[in-house]
Amino acid sequence: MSKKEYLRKLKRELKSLPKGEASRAVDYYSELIDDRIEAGATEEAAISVMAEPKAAAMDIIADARERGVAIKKNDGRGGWAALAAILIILSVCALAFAAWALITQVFDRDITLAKIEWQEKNAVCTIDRAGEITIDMARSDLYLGCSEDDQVHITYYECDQIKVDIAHTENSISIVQKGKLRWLYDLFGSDTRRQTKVLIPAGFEGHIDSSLTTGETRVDGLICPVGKVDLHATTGDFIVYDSAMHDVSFTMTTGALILGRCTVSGDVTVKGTTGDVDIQDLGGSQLIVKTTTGDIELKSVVFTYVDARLTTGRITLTDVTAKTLLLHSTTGSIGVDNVSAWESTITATTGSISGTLSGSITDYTIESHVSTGHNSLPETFGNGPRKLFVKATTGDISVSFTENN
Amino acid sequence: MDIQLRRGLIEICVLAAMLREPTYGYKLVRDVEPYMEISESTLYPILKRLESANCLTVSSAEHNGRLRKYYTITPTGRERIDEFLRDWKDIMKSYYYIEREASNV
Repeated sequence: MSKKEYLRKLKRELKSLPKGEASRAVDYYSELIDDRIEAGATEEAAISVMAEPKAAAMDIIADARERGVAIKKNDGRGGWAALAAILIILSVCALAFAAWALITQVFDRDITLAKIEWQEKNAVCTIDRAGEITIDMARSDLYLGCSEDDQVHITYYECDQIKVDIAHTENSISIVQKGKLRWLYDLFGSDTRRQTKVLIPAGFEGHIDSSLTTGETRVDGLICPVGKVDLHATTGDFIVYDSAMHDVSFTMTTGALILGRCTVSGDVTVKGTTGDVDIQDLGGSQLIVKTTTGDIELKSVVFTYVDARLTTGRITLTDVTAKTLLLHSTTGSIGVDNVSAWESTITATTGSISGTLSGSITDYTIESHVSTGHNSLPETFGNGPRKLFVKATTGDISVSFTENN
Repeated sequence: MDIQLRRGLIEICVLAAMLREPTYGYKLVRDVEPYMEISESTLYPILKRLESANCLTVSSAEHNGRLRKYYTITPTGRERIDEFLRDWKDIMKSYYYIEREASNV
């Protein structure tokens, strides 16, 4: 058992004591464990000589009672309250079900929401090669692909409540969804969104900008090797395969990104919040990935500059080649497997850093720091052409090299 | 040994361990251990009791970047030790009497 775990268990056993009384006891045990560790014991050994949290707590509570401290009676009232709440919820559900059964079976009324009558529509537009395509939709999936001729083909869906405005000049197309469904549809409705399909001529050199609120963006076979693609989504995911692009950016809130088998000649910028980012088989100039809690996974990726950072979550790199590599995780861990870079800066605050770097240790000039964790790297080492800076504040560093010598 | 007697003895041992200088939990356990069976969990209630009986005072001081509690004996605590030594003299008188009588029969 670790010290943290021991103290957590002890604290739980002392719930019936007043806060100050309990925290003083926990502090006392914490101090004694620290003192034993300081005297040379391992954390494990220091804990093992302490009484089990339950036994220790019984002593503490018995003594507090003797000193006249008020002890809260832990008679499981919390448990009863929870049980009562569950019973109330169950009975409300049962009543609702009974009402529904009465209306539908006895009175033979249909109370489901009216079916949405989607109508498929098509538009074909000609656009300048360097034009601008803007898509703004609140309730739609989106498919971006390659057109078979030199025109833009749009397939979209409208219903009574939702219309799509397509405004078109010779160098711009804007596709904007208007109207909305009642909120009830989000809870009980079905078929509440369709996929808008936009097929763009191969070699389009302009700017594609898409914003979706709810809906998945799928990019497949898009060929815009010179232009710029900006994709935004609030709750939807991005799935991008087999496309050629120059600069591309993804901004998402809860959605995830899967990006693979693409050729990118410029920069890839990803800003995520809670969704995961998974990038495979990709090469380009700059790759910048930032998320808050989503995991970042890069596999078979070759970029001049790679910058991946997140707050909570895991960063995993497999077979990644870069000139400059920056990895940072605040509370998550970082794993590298066969990563090759000329200048690497890998930092973690509370997480650990582990894995293998390509080449032999003599290829590197190393600087590494840990504060409380274990470090497998020398703190300073060598004079090799590759620069490596690794820092873990409270986590461990266990990094090795693919060639041992 | 009678529990009450044992408890009383540990209390006096703990107070005696802080006569020379203020001491802390881990050191107390180490110092008293050879003479009295004691553990961290038996020590805590004893320290609390002695504190509420004004036999010792507690102060926190920084040690290696964390806080450590130091226990200092008070005049009341000192009195408690003296009282114990006096009482024990009487007890020892009875002890020798009991021992003598028991070995004569």
